[in-house]
Amino acid sequence: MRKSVNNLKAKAYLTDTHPVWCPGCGHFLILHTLAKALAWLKIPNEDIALISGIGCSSRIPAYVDVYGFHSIHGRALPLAQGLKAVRPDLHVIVAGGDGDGYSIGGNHFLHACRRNMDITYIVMDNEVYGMTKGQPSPTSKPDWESKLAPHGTGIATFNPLGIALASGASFIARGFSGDQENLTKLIVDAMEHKGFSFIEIKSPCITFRPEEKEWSKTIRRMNTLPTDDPIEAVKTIHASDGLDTGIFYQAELPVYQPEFTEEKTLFDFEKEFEV
Amino acid sequence: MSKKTLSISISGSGGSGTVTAGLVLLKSMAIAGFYGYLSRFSGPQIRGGESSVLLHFSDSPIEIFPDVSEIHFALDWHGFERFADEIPLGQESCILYDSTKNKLPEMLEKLGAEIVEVNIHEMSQKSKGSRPNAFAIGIIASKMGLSLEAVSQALHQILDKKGVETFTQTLDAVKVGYTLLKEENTPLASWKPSTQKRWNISGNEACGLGALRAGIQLASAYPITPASDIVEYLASRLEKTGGTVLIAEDELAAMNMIIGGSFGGKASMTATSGAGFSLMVEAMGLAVASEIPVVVVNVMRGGPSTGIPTKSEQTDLNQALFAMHGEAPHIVVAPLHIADTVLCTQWAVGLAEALQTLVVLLSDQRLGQSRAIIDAVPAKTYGLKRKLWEDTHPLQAYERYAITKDNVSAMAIPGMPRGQYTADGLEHTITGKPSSMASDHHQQLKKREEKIKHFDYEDNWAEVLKSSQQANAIVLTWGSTFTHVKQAVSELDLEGVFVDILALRLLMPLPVDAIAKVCQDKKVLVIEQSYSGQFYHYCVGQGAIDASALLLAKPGPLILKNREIKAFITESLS
Repeated sequence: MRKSVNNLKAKAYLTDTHPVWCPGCGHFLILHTLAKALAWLKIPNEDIALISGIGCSSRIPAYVDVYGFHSIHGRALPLAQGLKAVRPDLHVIVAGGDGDGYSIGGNHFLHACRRNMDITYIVMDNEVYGMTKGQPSPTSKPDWESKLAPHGTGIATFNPLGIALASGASFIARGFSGDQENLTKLIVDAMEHKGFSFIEIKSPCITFRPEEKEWSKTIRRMNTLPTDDPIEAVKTIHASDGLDTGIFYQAELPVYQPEFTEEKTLFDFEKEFEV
Repeated sequence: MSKKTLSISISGSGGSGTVTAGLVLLKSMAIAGFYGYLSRFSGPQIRGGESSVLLHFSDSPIEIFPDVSEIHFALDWHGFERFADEIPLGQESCILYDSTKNKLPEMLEKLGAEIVEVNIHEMSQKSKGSRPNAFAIGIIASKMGLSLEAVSQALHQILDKKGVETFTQTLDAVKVGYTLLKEENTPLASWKPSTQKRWNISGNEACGLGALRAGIQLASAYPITPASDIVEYLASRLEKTGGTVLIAEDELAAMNMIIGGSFGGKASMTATSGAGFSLMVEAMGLAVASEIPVVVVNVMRGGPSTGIPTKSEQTDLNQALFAMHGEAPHIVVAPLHIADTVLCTQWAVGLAEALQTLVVLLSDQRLGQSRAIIDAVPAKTYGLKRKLWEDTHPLQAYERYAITKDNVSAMAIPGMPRGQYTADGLEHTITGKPSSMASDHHQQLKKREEKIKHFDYEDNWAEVLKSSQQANAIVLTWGSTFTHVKQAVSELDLEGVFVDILALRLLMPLPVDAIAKVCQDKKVLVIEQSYSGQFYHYCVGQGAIDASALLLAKPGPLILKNREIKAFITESLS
């Protein structure tokens, strides 16, 4: 099959469908950064699969000119792993939000980290359920007041990086939608990494969390090299106030990719039953 | 015509070798040229609890439980009361038991059955290294008239890996048992061995084989009784034929994994039972909406909730038909017996691929976990393939959900240049772009409904059995109940009671017109394994039969007995 020629422009990875996102949403920047990273990597459009669940950010496959799957809430990771298991030749990216990945899809997150398949998982974390109009998510602070939780949830926040580390992910990073230069590099590094690469991207929801606009002032780059020592990584992750960006952990760990042979035929299997 | 069936049961506590004894006898009978059917029952313990096997032999294919066990051998009576329902003992039975350490249970004393005490303990003192079940095998084999040669061959195959010493000691013990109660007029004396090529296979293995025949390349599942054997069967085989088994973290994952695999262009399936099926339902709707071919096998067990995990029922029918939210046309099929499970599974995969939809295959615990000697199932070609997109018009953009004559759109597979699209659970336009417009919704609803409704299922939709003379009545049934209905109806035929049988393999879309035509001018008798008559109400509700049809519905876990079916039919006709 003749592969399409890559023209190295980010635009070649975008469709003409206009996103459903609110003007000023951080997700726009992530969309463009992702396109830029793909252009940099020069991967033919048709060799990329972008899988998502449900939520504002999960609408992203329709906007990227690759094979996409906008599936159901919380289940993007298993769908993507099923695909990667039988199509190791594809570059599989999973994208979604904090509710999709950490709440309804939490169990799959643990097991995807554990399997450490060669896929990239991008979580566009805005600390709120935007699509259902402003409910607290696992990453919302316990005292954040909303209609559904008038006095705050009173529940400690989910620690995505710590959990990814404990569960076996081999590449763990945090990015910020407002820092495109750094983010492009993070996505490229994640996609070049062999194993489960997880990037938690802080992405302000200016509609339901206008205070998150402040992130452009408070989020900072970490100026340290990635470690492959989990003990060191756990310290950095827990010492961070959640506003540090960069690669917290990158290690060479066994990558799960089922192997098969074609040494047997139906004839062999039918013979097993013969009396 | 002399009776050419023989029923045997064996029971004992954990570790007594009950099931092994049953498997040896089944294999021995197969080697001797006969047919047989084995079902096993165990207590609630995971391992080490009491268990029993029920065997039914014949000189022609047989897949029904006997109404009475003619020979019962108790290695001990531990926990026997648990099997009182499943092991049908009566005054026709001959009950043998090891009297060394055991006393006949009170419940069996009044039965009027022939009781034979054997002193296995004493025998085992004489033969070194052998276990009581070996003596039992010998005793039963000699009572049946089964040749020692056949038993020896079967033992050799089963004990192959355990070494020569184990084999010799076991065979010696079998020989001791064999000579103990040697009889002259044995039942098998008048049986004619078959020369057909035959298989020793369980229903769940048959399902796995059907999947392999169909070219499945991804099976993903979460363990659940009684479906795990299917994926266990596939695990060591798929990886040797270019495929993969994925162990999912739960059924939600399993279902989504196969959608991913199939999106990637590989035929994919999962196997589960009721509780797991419930968890998969949301993603099943995704397969329907995004038109991704997948097969979900449900080996039904007693429900609701955790229900009776180790025993059979046909009660997930309503769930298979109607569990999804919205309007989600899909296909539901059900095999009728073990050989049919091979073919029906292959057909199910073919239908999913050709129609780009969800196919649910309903098996059940009895069908899946029973083992039988059957005639080898010949290869069959269904000619059902996935319609793939071909990039023939460079100026034309790809339309994933294009409306076509048969309403099946050509599918692009990741890796195909210019075929990029987004599969979506959201309603969409013909290109796959999300849309909440009425016109798009109506168009796509119609497309998904009609591709399935107007497909030609050929004569695979059902099994129609005509009686020897003009019948005024017909039994309508489905699934594993079929084999029992068939037996009862063939016996009635000899007694001068004539009824036809219509056993459905295709449950959704329900072939309403075809059913009505076959049942025309006949009294319809519906027989199914449920409490509420789900199948009956479905057929009536769809207008396939009218409400004057009569119903025999009995919930699991006990299978409908031959005499119950015969009584229902004769009473319905009088």
